[in-house]
Amino acid sequence: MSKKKAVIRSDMTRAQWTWKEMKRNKVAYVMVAPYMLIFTLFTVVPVLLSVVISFTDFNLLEMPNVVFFDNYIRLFLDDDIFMTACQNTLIFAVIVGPASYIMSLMVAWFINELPPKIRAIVTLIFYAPSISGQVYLIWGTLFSGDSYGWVNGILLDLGLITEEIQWFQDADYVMPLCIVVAIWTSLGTSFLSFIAGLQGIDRSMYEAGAVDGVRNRWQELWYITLPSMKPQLMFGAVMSITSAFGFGGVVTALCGFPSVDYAAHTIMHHLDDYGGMRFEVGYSSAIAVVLFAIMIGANMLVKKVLSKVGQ
Amino acid sequence: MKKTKFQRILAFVLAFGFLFGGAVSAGAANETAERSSLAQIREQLNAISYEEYVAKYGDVDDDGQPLFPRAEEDIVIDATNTDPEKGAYYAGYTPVGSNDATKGAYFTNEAGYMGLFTPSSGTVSWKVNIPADAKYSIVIEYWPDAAKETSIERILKINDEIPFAEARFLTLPKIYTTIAPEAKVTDPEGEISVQTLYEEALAAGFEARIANAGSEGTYVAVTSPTVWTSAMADYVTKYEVRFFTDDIDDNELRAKMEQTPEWRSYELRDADGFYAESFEFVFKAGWQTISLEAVNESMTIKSIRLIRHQDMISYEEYKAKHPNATSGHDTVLIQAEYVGATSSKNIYPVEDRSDAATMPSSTDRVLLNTIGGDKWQTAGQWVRYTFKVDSSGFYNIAARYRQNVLDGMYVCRRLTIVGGEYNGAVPFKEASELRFNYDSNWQSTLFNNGDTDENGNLKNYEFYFEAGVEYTIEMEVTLGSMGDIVRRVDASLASINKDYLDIMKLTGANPDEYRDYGFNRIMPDTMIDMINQSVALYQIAAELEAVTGEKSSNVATLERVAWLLDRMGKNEDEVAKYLDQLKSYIGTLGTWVGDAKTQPLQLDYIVIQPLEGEAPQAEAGFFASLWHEIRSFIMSFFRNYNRMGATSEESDDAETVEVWLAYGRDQAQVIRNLINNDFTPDTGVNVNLKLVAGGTLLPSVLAGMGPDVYIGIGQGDVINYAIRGALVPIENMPDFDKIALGTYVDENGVEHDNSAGRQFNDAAMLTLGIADSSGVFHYYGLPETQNFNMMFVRKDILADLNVEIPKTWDDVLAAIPVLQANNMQIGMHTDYKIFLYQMGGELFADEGMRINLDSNVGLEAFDTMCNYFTMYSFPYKYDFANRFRTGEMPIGFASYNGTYNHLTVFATEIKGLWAFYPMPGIESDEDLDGDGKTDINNVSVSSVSAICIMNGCSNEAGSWEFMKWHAGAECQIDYSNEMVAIIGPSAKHATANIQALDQMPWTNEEYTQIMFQFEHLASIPNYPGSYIIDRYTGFAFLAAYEDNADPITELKSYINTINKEITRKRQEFELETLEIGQTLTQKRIDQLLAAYESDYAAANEALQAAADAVKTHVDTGIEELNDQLLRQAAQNFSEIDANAFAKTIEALNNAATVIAKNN
Repeated sequence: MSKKKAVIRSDMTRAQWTWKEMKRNKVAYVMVAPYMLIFTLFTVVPVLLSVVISFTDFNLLEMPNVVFFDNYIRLFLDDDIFMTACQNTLIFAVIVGPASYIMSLMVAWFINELPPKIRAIVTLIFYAPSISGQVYLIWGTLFSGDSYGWVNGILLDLGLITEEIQWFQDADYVMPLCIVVAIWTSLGTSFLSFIAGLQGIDRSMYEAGAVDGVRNRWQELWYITLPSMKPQLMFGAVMSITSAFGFGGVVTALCGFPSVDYAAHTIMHHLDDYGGMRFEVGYSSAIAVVLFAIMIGANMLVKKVLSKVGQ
Repeated sequence: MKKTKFQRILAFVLAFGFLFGGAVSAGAANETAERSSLAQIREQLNAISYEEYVAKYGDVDDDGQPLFPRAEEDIVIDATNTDPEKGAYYAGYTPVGSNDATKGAYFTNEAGYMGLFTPSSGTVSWKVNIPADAKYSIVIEYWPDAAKETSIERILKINDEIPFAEARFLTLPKIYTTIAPEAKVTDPEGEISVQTLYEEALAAGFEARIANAGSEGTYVAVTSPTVWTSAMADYVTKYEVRFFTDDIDDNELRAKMEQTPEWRSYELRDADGFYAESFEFVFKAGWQTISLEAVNESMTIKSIRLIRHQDMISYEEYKAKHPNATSGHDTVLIQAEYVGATSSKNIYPVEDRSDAATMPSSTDRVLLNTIGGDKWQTAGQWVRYTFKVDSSGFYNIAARYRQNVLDGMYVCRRLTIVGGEYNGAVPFKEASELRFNYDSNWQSTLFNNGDTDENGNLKNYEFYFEAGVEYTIEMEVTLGSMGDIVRRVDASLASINKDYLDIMKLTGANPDEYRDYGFNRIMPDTMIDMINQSVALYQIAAELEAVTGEKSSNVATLERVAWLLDRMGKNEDEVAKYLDQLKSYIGTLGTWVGDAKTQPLQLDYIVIQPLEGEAPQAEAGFFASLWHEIRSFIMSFFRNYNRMGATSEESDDAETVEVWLAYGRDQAQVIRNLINNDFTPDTGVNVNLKLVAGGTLLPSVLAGMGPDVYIGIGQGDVINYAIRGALVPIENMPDFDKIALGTYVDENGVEHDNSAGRQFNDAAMLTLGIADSSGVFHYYGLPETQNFNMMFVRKDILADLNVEIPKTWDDVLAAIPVLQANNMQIGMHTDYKIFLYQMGGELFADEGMRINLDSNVGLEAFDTMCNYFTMYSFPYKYDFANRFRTGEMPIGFASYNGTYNHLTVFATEIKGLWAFYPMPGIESDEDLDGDGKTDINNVSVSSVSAICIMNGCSNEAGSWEFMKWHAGAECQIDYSNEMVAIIGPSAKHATANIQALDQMPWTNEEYTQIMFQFEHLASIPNYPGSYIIDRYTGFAFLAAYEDNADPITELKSYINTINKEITRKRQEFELETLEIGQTLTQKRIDQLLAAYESDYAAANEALQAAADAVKTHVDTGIEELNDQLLRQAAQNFSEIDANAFAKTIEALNNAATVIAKNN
């Protein structure tokens, strides 16, 4: 009697196995298809395309020519402003990224302690700056260079200054101000995900922790709360890093383009400068590729760091 | 009375004499023509208000009789009478300055009667003999000239003096009539035959015919009537007759409106509508001079009548005229959109879809079913309807209207009637301010003025109309009783503004609130005035509340200002603290006055109806409204907003020119109409006009789906696109050189001067062209708009401070201490280019291969600019319009068109107090225009936006035709006038077409200034890499401004960076480049030396080879001598240059021949 032998993994080539598994799970593939399609079309393809374009001299209007590594060579060896931009971006990322991350976490933690109704309201208050798009423009009014700008007006009234200060046109003030604004607007998605994560933690864990000898709130935070919300922490970190590296629009809106003496010129600005103003899309794609690489690197670093949480 | 031959000749001689006299004085006045002097300004501004004027001449003598009583008898001045024997006579014409290009005033018979034509500039005067001291009202009988679309403005002077300030702004309306197309009448259900419809139309009194619409069968074509009757009105209502043409989606299109001049009498009154009654002018006995100075537009004057001012009769007196009349029995409903005539093109039919009860209404197509709204809102604007009734008697007039703008207030209309017993005046006093109340919805009312009878019911006025008599009712915007309130607020505002300036002169704009300035001691008048103004404003607020019956936000605004003034006036310690707030309140008050002056009213229809009738239904019922809203929502998915107004189907065929423009819908609509009416009929080229969002061009070109022609591309982008091959060069298009260049070459190759025929100046064209890599210069676009900075000046403040209007930068420097001593500033952009070009420099050197800022002139220009900010503390950031309005910044340099438009609507309270002039200049040692004097170089730097043909265009010839037409003078004139007509005076268009400029809706004075600046323009070519310059000069400036760095050192430190970028960018396009630090001259010399050297080296080598060959032979004595070596040497020489080395070559060949023979 011939018994049909069960098919096992080692009987098949890898491709056969994959195909078989795919057939078995076809419903899942159908479900994921719409997202994958859109994701590929609007995220993967553009990224790949920009890698390709970065090896050409594309100018948006004419057929591109392949220039091989010329763009990268120029970028790293013959572009002082790119170096300034890298420096500014790193400063932004190093200060704004962690600062906003920690702030989000702390605020979320504190808010989580509030009664539900008040919590909803306070959440909205903290989240408001990042949902109401252009609201950072209030900083433009506050620190307007006009002698009737709020800060200038107050300082002039108090006699601390005799002539108005061009806050957003003065290389000394531009960077610090932009960092402050960036932190102010950064309580965004990561903050919301933290709140969600905090609420998703099983209360019984705390009881178990108390039984097992957790002595204070800090220990509770470190050993129970944070490890339980690692996925949210990861998500928040990725968002913080990405937004810190991609910071640019707010600077342009406040300081103009480019900022004075490139004082707050980030890689995003540099990219805009070449892609938008100078029609050098090939070169700006090269910048984008570099920025992309930096972001991936930073994310991997963050992953490493986060794996230490709770240990 | 027939004129004698002698009189005619005399008139002629006189007219000629004045003309000639004008011309002579014009020549002499060359230097002063450009800017009016302080004395002139003072004379213009220092007039008392009408209120003060009335008070001044209101004295009575000992017997209680007024010193200046109302005149007993009217005096008529025949405008064309030149004979003093016959009484009042014409005393001549005085032109303005040297630039007055008009023919002057002359007698003309063109309008049917003999009249005096007065041009749009200059002054005409009459002498009149006044029998005794008296007050007269003045009526001018005039014929408005159909020229520009602006109203006629005049200044009245008596004995060369402006009697009161309001006489500076006399505005005489024009008359516009709609050219209504025939209405197509068919029965939608098809139940009633065309013949029946036709017969009914004839029976109703229409002019009608049966017309054939081809495949759709026949219809009745009904002509729009001039006089409405009830039968006509019923017919129109019954069959929804629409006197409009439709576009392809059945949307109604605005009909054309034309100026239809007629002889018209206008009793001089306040143009702002502040005074309800007409002006009364005081005349002393004896010969007096009356002059009219033209500000805007020409007109023909038939007569000027000085009349005794008549008081209007009361309603009771009016009713008593027809004691036995009863109610009429007729109902005439006139759709408001079928207006007989209007005073301005602004008032045109508009769509209303907000209410189902609007007659007619539709949810799926545009019906222009109402008229007015925010276009019919400034004092003096009127609409007119003509009708007749079938039975005599008293009638009510009702209107369905909407006034949803002035919250808690009402708007007024003044009703005048012509026909029958009415002579064109207001029939009774109450009709001079009919009231229309505020509500967010549509309302209906019988005409009333808000007065109530003893029972508290509104008094509805009855009007007597005779059967069969044509009556024309005219509804004119008037401020009514609000006029007085607004005027007082306006006067108060002027006074408060002066107080503010006085305080600011002492303390500066940011006073120290802890310092004791001693206001009570230093400026007691100002302090008292603030308290007075506070009292006045409280008083006005109370009156306003009483009149409107509610405490609206408008009342609150006045009270807030009053409170602040009271506080400041009574506590001198708080003046400094509240000064900033006072400033912002001045702005608020200005806006208040501006808003209160507007009296918007939208009309759906008016009904002349019997007395027993109620006011018509104002709003649709609940279910009708609901259904209307649902349908509107659904239909909004089907309405095609992009092609609204298109009269032919879009076609994709290659011959149709696709034009994109990124302006507003109004602009697109106007251009589309012009294309439909002028361009396509004239050229046969079909145009597909699309309104796109800005920034669409680049993606569409990238996707290969761009338009054929694009309107409104910035000058920088023209070159950006052109250099990357996305635009079609146009210099070889037919007539290009004739319209755009200073010279043109005819078909025989002869060059002609074209300075008179060209439509664009060099400054505009320079920015739209660039040389390609082989050095051939191409043009890529025609300029559409051209903008540049001019100097805006608050004349009143400069006159007050005794500062002449600056002509040169030295004058500006001289003005700075005076202004700054009064805590005032000058508004200037950080624009070194003006100084650079005024000093005779240029931004680029060597055809754009390097920047010229490291030259002496470049550095000096930059340094000069920086000094204004560092040494003279000019503000770097400021809101010009705001500070100009308060007077803090009485001088500023700003874009002439944008700033003018902004100030016109934003700062109405300083109307007439400001003007713009050409930029101050630098006095040069040279005589630029060859008049024997050194000149002031007051060049301003212009920038343009252009219209261009995109590469891949399928019909280049057609596209070029369109481009030429659109940028051409005729289209630009029509377009500008149309924009001003439909949007208002703030929609002035900065055309680049110099031929079109004099027909633009500018006043004569404005035109003179703009034209002067147009003749003194420079511009900066857009060489590759230009974008980098402003960036680094900006950095250099900020370093100098903030850190007190030396501007010259700073600028120099960026020169290499700039040049490097320029070189890099030029390499990208394979254009010639320079090494850093090199000039083109140097490069050419180096190239010369190198060429010489390489040539020389080759020759030397060849010679050496030949010599070697011969020498080898001689030295070695080898028998088999090779002549080939010598021939080769000769060959080498001829390759280098056969001519230059002809002798050497010959010698070598000869030697070779000899050697060959020897062998």
